[in-house]
Parts: sequence; structure tokens; C-alpha cells
Amino acid sequence: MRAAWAIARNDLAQLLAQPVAAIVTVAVPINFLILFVLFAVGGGVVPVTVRAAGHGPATAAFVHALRNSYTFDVQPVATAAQAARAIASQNSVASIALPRNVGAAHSTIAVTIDNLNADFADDIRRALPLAVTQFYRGVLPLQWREVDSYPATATFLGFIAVSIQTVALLIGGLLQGGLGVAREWEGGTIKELLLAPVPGWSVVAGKLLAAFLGALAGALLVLVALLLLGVRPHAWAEYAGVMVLVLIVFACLGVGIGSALRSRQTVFPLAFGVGLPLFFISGPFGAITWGTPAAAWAARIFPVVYANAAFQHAAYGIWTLDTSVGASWAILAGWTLLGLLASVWLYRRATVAH
Amino acid sequence: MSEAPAIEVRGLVKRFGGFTAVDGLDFRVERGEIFGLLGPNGSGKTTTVNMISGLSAPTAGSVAILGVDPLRQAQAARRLLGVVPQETALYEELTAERNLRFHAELFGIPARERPGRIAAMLELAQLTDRARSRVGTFSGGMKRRLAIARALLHQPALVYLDEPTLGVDVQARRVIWDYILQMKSEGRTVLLTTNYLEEGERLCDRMAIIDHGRLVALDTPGALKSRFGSSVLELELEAAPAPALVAALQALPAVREVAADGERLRVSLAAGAEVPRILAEVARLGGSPRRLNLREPSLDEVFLSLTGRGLRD
Repeated sequence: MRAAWAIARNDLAQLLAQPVAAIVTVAVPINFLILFVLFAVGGGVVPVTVRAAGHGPATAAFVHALRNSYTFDVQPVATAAQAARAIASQNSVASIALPRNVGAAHSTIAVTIDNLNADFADDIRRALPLAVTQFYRGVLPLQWREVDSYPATATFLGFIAVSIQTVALLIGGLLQGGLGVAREWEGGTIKELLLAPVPGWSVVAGKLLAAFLGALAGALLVLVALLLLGVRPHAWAEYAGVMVLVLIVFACLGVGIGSALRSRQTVFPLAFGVGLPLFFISGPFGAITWGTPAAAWAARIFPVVYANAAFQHAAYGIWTLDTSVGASWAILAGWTLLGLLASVWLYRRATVAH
Repeated sequence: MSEAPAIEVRGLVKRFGGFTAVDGLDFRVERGEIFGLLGPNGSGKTTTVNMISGLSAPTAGSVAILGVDPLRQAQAARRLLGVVPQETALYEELTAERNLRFHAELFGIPARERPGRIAAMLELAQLTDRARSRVGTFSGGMKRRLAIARALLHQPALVYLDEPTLGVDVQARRVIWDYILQMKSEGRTVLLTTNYLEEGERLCDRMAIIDHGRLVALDTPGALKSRFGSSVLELELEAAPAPALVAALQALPAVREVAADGERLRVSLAAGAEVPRILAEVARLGGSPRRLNLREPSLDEVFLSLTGRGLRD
């Protein structure tokens, strides 16, 4: 382990000797976090103008129903011209005109939709009838009662943000592991390692340790950002455990990829090319079974989905998979072992005397 | 092991698919000698050295470094060997001192001995004042000196230098030669590859010439030249030499070959040739030399006589 530690420190010294490159590599996951926060915040509600002809309690109740629909960002306007201008200037997706007799039999709500694309237009088409239903809920003959599986509901932003922790480990581990080995080949310094009286496994261990520590810095940066966003893991030990396991898996795979490709220019796009699709099919927005079956089937092969589930469990106490907690941890442990074996095998394959 | 030669290569063969890179090499490097491995690009030099250093496994044959098998006893062999690769293999982003410290750590030099040894090596490389400078800021000669210092840090018994002066200026070349000679004076065995005859002649006790993976010749530089090459007397005359002059020179003892090219004469000499007598003969037959040059044969010429092709073809 003496040589492994020396190799790890040498790698970290090289990383620190190039502060800009180090910051860029470590901060990559933060970019994803910012992107997803913008996505969650920007895509959450739809701006609409509401022009009410009357001012009675029925009108106020309907506007209240709109505001509580989880869909509309209500902007009151006084005239039809103002509503039209808001649509023309892309400041609202729809204008909703409430008649004076809203709530009376056969009253009609006029809706003008800026149907630039189906996503936002369908939000209006779905949510307005729901608001009407909500408005009449007290007098409807059919009622419903909500029973929640969990005592609290994670916010969409909070749910996505926790998934970013996985992408930080995924991209960070692949990049740090891959670049650390590829750099040795590109600079010819691999000879210094190959000609040293140290076993191959200790070189791999050193590279893994350096990749682990480098990627951990990025992952901790994301964790700090999550704390600032209000995420408070209720099971810290579980959170730390899954972080360590997933980091080992991807640092190992990174070292393996670096050994096989020997080029930083190739490692970089591959880390993103492999990492991002894996991330997107692995339930960053909800349970994988809510998506397409093929994607869910593919996601089950890789460790990312189990990592996502374990992080959500550690953060919110929720479980997003149909695989049990114990089985998921066993799969993660299996991937860790597989990653270790793969990194050693690929390094030996690249360097063994042939 | 104490009686084993520094390097012993027996029946060494290396094939890559259908291509034979090294084809039955046999040679032995004695302890304390500087041994040169010469040959054109693609001749099998690097493959041979890779097998000697344990980076490549022979297809057939055997290699031993001071009696140690570099593949089966890899770690022991690596402790005996200090390597100065052609591309230096230094960490360019790190300082000179950090590069040496990393090498010391890899080779298990005790922590208490490291500062002293590193300081001594930096002094040897004349880089003490640049110890904390990044290697990326160094010239080619400085990098080569640092690479030599690094190779010597763990005090190896055998040092291998791959094209040690390729691409460095004349002044740096002299310094590196002095280092190599110093290694020999300290009792180390030195194996070097080179394309420069001057380097081989100045440094090597013996040289092996390799072509197409085969050993073409192995001897001291002087013996190689006397066996395979000639000293060359080049004359530039006032006028083109008459055929009679060329024929008369060719008939002189110890003259191997006379070639005329316009006003120039190129006379290849064997051992024992008498230059004053040749010049007298030129004068006697009406030749009037304007310039003359007596030089040793180039490695290309030695190599040409051995293989029928130039060193850098």
C-alpha cells in the first residue's frame, strides 16, 4: 500500500498543479445541478392571465382554484387587450376569461391558448378542467379521499437534486479515474510506473484512491449545494455508504476505461456519453417503472438506478424501485466488486508484458 | 548471482503475429562495461531492450539481468535497473524535486535517506537551483539530465539509456557523456542505444550492431571500424584527376577503394595506410591538392558495409 499511497499523492499533486483543470473537473456536477434546478423551477408552473368580468365570491373562489391547481402562475389583467398583449409578447401561455356569472349553470370560461408546442398547451388543457372540478368539489356527488404512501411528499426540485448526487459520483468517478490513467500513457510516464518495483495492483489501487478523493471533492460540493437547497438526509450513514460504494464503482470503471483507451481526449466524451444516458434512464425524475419498459429494463442492469433509489431512501425515506432495499444494496456491492476486478484486469491487460 | 554477467541474452526471439522483430539474438554484457546497441529505426533495438527490462515477454530465448529473470523476478530486476527513456517520462506539471521524490517513494528508498539522495542527484544534474521549478519549463537538455538523475536515485547496478543525446545541443551532449562515463567509474554497467558513432566510440567499451532483429556485429568500436569500415582521405584537386592517377592510387598498399567525382577524390584506407605516400603519389602524377580531409568512417559507412543500407534508411 506504500506505493499505492505514493501514486495517489502524485496524482493529486498533478491535479492541484493545474488548478483550472481541477476546478473544471470537480465542478462539472454542479453544472448539472444548476441545469436541473432551472429545469424544475422553470417548468413547474405555467404563466396565464386571468380576466374576471365579475368580482363576487364565485369569481374569487374560481381564481383560488386556479392558483391551487399546481399548474398556473396567475397574472390578473383588466382588459382583453392586456391579455392579448401578454400572449403576443410571450408573457403568458393562455388567457382565461371568467364570465360575470362564473359558477352559474351554462356559464362559459373562454380560454385562448398560445399553442406554440403541445407540452405547455396540454398543461392548460389538463389543468383548467381540474380547476373547474376543484371549484365544484363541494357540490359534486362523487368525492375522493387521498391516502399518501409516505408521511411527506418530496418536492420535485428536491427529488431531482438528490439524483444529481448520483451523477456527480458517476461523472466524477469516470473522469477522475479515466483521466488519471490516460495521462500516464499520453505523457509516457507510465514507464516510470511499469519499471518501478511495485505490483500492478498497487498502481491500480493508487489510481483508484486518487480518483476517489478527486471525485469525492465534487460529490461533497454537490452535497453542500443540496443542503443549501434544503435537502436534509434523514439517514446520513446510508447516504455516506451509498456515496462510497458508487464512487468506488465508477472510479474503478474510470481506471479501466483510461487503461483501455489511453487518451484523455477519448475518456472525456466517453464519460459523458455513457454517464448521461445512464443517468436519464435510471429514475432521476421518478420511479423507472413509470417510464418506458425498455428503458426500465436497461436501467436495471446498471448500478445507477440502485444508487438513485438508495439516495432517495437516505434523503427522504422513500423507495422508488420494485427491487427490495437489501437486494439493491447487494447489487451495488456486486458492482463494486465487479468494478475492482475490471479495473485491475484492464490495467493488467494494457500493461502486461506481451 | 555474484558471477553472473550484467546482461545475458540467449537465443532471443520476438514475434508480433507474422512479423519477427528480434530473430535469435545472443550477447552478453559484462559488469562495469558501457555497452552500445546500434541499429536503424525498426531494427529491433527497442524490442530487445523492452525484453531486457521486462516490459515485453520473449517469444523464445531468455534474458537475465545480473542473473535475475526480468519477467519471473520482475520486482528484483527493476531494483537493479535504472532507465532513462528517450521521451524522459517525467511529470511535466510537477517540480524536479517532486519527480525525484515520487521515484524515491516508488523504489522504497527510506524516508530519512530521501532528502540527501535527492539533493545529491539534483546537484549531479546541476539543477539544485531549479529544484522547485516545474519540469515543463525545462529545456530538453535539463530534462534529460533530470531523467538521468532520477534513474540513478535508487543506485541501480545497471543503467539503460535510450538515445541519451538525441535532440540535445552539443554542450548538453558533452555533459551527458560525462555522466555516463562517471557511472562506469562508479562501477555501474551501462547499456545505451544510439545512432551516433561518435557517441558509441567515445563511450562504449563494446557495441552490438543490430539489423532486422539480428546481430550483425559485436566488438569494440575500433575493431568494428577496422573490420568493416575504413578511414577516408578526401582530396579536392585543382583539376579533375586523370584515370592514371586513380589507377596508381588504387594500386598502393592499404588503399581499399578510390572514387573520383569531378575534382574530388575519395580514398578509402585500410589499417597501415601511409597518407604521406599517397599525397606524394598524387603530386608525382600531376595532381595538385587544394584541400584535404582525413576522417574516420561514419557509422552509416560501417553499417553500409555490413548491411548494404544506411543507418537511417
